[in-house]
Amino acid sequence: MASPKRIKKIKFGLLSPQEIRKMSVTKIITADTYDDDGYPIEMGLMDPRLGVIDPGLRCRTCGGRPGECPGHFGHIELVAPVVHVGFAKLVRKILRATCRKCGRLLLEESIKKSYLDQIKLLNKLGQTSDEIVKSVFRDAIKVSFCPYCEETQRDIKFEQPTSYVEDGHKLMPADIRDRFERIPDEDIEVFGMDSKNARPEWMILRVLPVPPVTTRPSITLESGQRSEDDLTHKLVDVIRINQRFQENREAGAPQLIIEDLWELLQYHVTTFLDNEVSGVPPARHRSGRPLKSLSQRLKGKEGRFRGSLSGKRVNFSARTVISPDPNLSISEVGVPIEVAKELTITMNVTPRNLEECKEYVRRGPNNHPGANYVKRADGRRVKIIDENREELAELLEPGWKVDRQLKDGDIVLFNRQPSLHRMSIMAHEVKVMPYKTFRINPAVCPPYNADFDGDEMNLHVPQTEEARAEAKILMKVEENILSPRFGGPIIGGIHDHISGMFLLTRGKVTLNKNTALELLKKSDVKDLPKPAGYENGKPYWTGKQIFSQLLPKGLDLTYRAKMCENCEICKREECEKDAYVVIRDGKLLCGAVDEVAIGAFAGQILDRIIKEYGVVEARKFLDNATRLAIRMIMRIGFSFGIDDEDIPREAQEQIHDIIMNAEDRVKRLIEAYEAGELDSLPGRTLDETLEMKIMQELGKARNQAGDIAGHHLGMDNSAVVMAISGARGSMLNLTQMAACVGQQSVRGERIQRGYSERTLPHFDEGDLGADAHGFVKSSYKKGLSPIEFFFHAMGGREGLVDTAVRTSQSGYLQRRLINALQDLEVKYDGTVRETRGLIVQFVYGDDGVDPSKSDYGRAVNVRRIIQNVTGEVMEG
Amino acid sequence: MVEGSNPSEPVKLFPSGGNYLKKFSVLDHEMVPEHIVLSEGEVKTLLAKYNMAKGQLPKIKTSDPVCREINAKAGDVVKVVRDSPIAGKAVAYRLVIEG
Repeated sequence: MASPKRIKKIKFGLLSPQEIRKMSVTKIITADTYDDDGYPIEMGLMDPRLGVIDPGLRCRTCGGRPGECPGHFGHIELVAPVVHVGFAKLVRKILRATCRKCGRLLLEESIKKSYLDQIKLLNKLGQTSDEIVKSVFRDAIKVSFCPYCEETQRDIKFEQPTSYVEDGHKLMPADIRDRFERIPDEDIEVFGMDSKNARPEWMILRVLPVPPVTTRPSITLESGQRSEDDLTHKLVDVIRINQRFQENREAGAPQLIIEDLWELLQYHVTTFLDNEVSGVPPARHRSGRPLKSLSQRLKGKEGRFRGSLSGKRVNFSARTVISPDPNLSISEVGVPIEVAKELTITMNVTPRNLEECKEYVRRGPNNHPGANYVKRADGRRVKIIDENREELAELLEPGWKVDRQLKDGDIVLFNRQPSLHRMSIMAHEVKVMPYKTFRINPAVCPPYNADFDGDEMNLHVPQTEEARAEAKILMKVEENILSPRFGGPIIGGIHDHISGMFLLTRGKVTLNKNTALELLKKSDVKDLPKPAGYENGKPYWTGKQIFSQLLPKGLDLTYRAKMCENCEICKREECEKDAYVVIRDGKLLCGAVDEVAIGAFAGQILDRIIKEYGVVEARKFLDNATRLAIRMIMRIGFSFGIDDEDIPREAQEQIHDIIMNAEDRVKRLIEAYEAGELDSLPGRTLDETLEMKIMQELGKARNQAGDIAGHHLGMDNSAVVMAISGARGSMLNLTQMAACVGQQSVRGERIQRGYSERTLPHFDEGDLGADAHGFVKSSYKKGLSPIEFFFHAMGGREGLVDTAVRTSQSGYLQRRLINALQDLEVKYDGTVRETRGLIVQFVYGDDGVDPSKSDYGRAVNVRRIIQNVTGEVMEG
Repeated sequence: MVEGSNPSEPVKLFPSGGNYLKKFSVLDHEMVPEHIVLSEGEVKTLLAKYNMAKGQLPKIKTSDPVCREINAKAGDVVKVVRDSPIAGKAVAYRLVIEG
């Protein structure tokens, strides 16, 4: 193998006419490509010396076959020079900054010297000299008399895209070239250019390089007709005009015609280089499609850099819509059978798996766990079809390879864009299923940030044993339950999982034998504990008991549930809200299981199981718990409708009174303010004080209204269950639906904008009242008045704009961070080093702790150790 | 105008002349961590411990105020002991370079 080489430096410059001729293998003089017999014409655009594209032929220059020969440049001698569009702006700047007679830079010796010194210093320091160069041009353009030959400078107008007019006379490219040739080397350095590698006159083309045929391959159509590349078409145009130009000039055509042809030549060369220049009509194909120029090949998202070098398309991948399937394990992914038939894994046939491979081949490509291709020992690939599958299966022997279809249990990578963290690509086990979507357990939605409103995801099949092993060890879903961000679980129960578990475990839910068994049917648990008691001679079990069956033996845990209100004196086990959770030896003794127990981002129980029993145990627990919860919530029946927001009439009246009172108080505040009786708070103006007090008053009113509504909505209300358990929504959402939406705000203040001194024409100028500044007294249930609706839309819009701005800004910030840090590595000695071995940190993170192996960022959980040693359970 | 002063002469804020900077040491500032110049032997064990060349250490310039204060010359290795909220004390080393 060739030893790797290090790139020492890269030089950028302009190609001089001599260089172009030197690297050219032939001069191109005819616009024709192939002769009547289909052979390329010598010194034509398809000259065989320019490289080979047809299979079987050899390159006339290097002797290489297609694929080996990189192609070779030719050149066209232009009869008259033309401006290179890419440099048109720079040409203008240099024209203006140099003398029209002697060609020297229009700056005095001393000024020039000081600029030159600055540029040289910056170059030595490896910094860009752009700023200095900018000011050189700025200064030189202002000068109207040459300091050396005293020539008066004329104003040069630049007409898009490539013509220059000096005092009404058009400057021909030949004139520009003459002027540029007069510029001394020293002055060129002041423009920030390197006089050896980039003389300004080289920006005016006299010789056009002809790219090798490998750059512009022609395609043979089915009819045997050849179809040439866009670049070839363009070059044909250039050569034709070039020839006509020459003929006309030799025939002594009038100046007017010459100039027209010159213009035309300029146009063709311009559109060959860049067909998207403003001010130039794009050159078109016969069909009317614009031709693709050199610059369009490179530029933009689908260009060479972003489209072909930084990112490419891959094989062995699939993409489709995702949908939920709560019966799958979190480490599985449901793959449509159509996809499974298309994606393959290569098996090496050995004496040990010969029979197995034969079976796959025998089944063929249409019988699901089959095979699509075999590769014989000599390397020939044979497609398996129904006609040859039996025959191939008989021929199969060790040394062959079989491309076997994807089947249950295979390991695949599953990904959703944007891939912002490592959990955006995880390894799943395949589960082949009917229908056309990828199916995932809803519990893995948080790490992918996926939902099912039409999201699509990608699937990749690792092709080597090493890749599969690595995926299994590092990327399996269970390996990623703990987030490296904070050392807690990022995968856990969501929505219905939490509501269901809450309904099962809160208070004393009694279940008869049938129900208990039904709930546990889908889980791994196969037996029931001792009944909690007997009713009418029949045994019954509690919800807590059923849940406890999923917990590993020996688990001890004490914590406070989400609904804990932090009472002054905690009643602990006697808590009437069941907010004090105690687990002893894997038995849930008291407390309800909610978001804090099994939720994503929180999951106390989940967290403890991973850290004490390992990730596989945690995955099993999560699978079982989510299935149990779903069964439970389906048994109970859980729904939410408009009448769940109903509150009794007297409650509505109470809320109405509270709001009226608050408005009254606001009115009094305003009166006090207007009477000058209001005292300003420390550090605030009087106006600010008033605003604050009004906001406070209205906020209080909304809270009181919410409390009243909350009083009348109990645990029989689905929305309350969801809010208390942490499954979805909050009591505030509920308050807004049932009682009062409250103050709308823009920029953290009451709404102030709109007309002069008032928000809407419905109000008096200077009205400071609650309703004039966006207080919404209605509830969503009752409906908003038109004015309230408008204010609500203002507040809502601000929220939308904020999210849009935040995502784009944080996305860019993260990209920059990743680009800066991506090559850093934690070495075996615990140091963080970059690629050259330079140390960035002596101990990773100063404490050497892997956050995903830590306990919420701490290296050790002291409480847990004490508990394990002394057996005494501490709260927390 | 200050009494007796000549308007064309700048008013001296520090009567001791250019020496007033000597009165302040950056090392006394609570945000400046402790810097210690290592002996040659210590440098050797350090490099052996991390199995690396001197050039792979992070750098600090001689013009750094701390370097001037502790008189570290180019080629020296400085030990920096910082207070860290997560690790208590965090130790780092820096190679002093010209500049």
